[in-house]
Amino acid sequence: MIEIIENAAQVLVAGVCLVLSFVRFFRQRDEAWTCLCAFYGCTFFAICYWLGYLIVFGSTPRFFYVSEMGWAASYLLILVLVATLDGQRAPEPPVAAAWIPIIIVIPQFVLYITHGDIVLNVIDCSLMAAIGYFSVRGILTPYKEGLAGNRAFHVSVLIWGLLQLAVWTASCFSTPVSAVLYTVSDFLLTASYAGILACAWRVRP
Amino acid sequence: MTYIENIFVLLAAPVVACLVLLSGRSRIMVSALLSGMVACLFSSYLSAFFAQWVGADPVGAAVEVAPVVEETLKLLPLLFFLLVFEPIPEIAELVTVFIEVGFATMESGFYIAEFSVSSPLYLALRGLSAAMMHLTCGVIMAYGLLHVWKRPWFKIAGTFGMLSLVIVYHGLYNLLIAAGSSAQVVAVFFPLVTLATAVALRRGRLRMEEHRSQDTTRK
Repeated sequence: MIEIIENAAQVLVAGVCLVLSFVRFFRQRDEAWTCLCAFYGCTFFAICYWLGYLIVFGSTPRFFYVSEMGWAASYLLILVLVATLDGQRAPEPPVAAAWIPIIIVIPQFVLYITHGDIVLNVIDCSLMAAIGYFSVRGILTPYKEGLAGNRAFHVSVLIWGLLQLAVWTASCFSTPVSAVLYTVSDFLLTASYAGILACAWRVRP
Repeated sequence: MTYIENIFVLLAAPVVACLVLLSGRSRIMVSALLSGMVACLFSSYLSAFFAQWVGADPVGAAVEVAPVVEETLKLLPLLFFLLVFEPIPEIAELVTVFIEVGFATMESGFYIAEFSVSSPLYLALRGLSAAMMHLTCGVIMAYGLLHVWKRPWFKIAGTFGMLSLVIVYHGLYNLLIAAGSSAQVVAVFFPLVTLATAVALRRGRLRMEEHRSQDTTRK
């Protein structure tokens, strides 16, 4: 039951974010908002499908990666967004700290493949590592005046990525503590979707 | 038993004959229609193969396997057309619509051969909602691709994003159909509402652009 509530909350938040980002995209028609709109679209429909399957069949999808494709696409789109915003600044020397997310993801990846699908985890973890890399770069390198909103956006994406990892890690175990951690991190992840949109509103290309 | 190849031959023959008579844009559109039909034929083979491979039951195959295979195969002729001919947006949109119509027509042919349903009302509703769903997927795909293909770095991510979006949308429709009872009613209206919203938004956008160009001319 709690899983249905969590997913329903995520559907609601992603749906609202999709509508708002679509309105902004409709007015501005720039690549960043196309990307963000597609990100929320993929997330919204993927969670809708997951939730629908859970309600109709009482289990998670068993045979093929439908929702997972939606999520992987959303990670790819947010990666394109953080990498593009990163490329729009003046060239800076590479930041060593940007490698930290990659170092964090590697042991997590080993944990995930011992509990789940290899192909899916290779795709998800490599995308998440790349998102972390570009987000940290985006946070640490200086911006020109008036572009501080871009840093906030990178922070929000990094937090979202860390929460995503927390959800995946908690789902690997079946103890009462991990169940609580899963629920808490999933609700925080839901909030982080709204956080990304709020920060994206202030981004200037 | 009617084989799907036979239905394909029967439905595609007039379209092929039509190709000989046409030229220019009309030929492109009818080719798109035919490629949609071919995509449907191959997707029925591949869906059956993958369903067997993953051990899915008929419901599992319809809800989980078919959306991925069908949407991927529908994308291939569109990608070919976009990459080879580099058409203007209006033509690309029309081609997408014709691919979807070809696919939906063929799928309806397969459906009637496989399930001998006699109620015309049910068939009309089924045909309309499935066609609407395929058209909606096509509109999302065409609209999305035309936007994401403006920048080279955005092409791959954007195409995969749009493909995933339509796969999940298609999966959601099939899921609602599989759920039965009142969910089936929702499934019938689900693509209709989405398509109506898309058309309304498109018209709104065109009107907005018209106003803008009028304002610029006045200035």
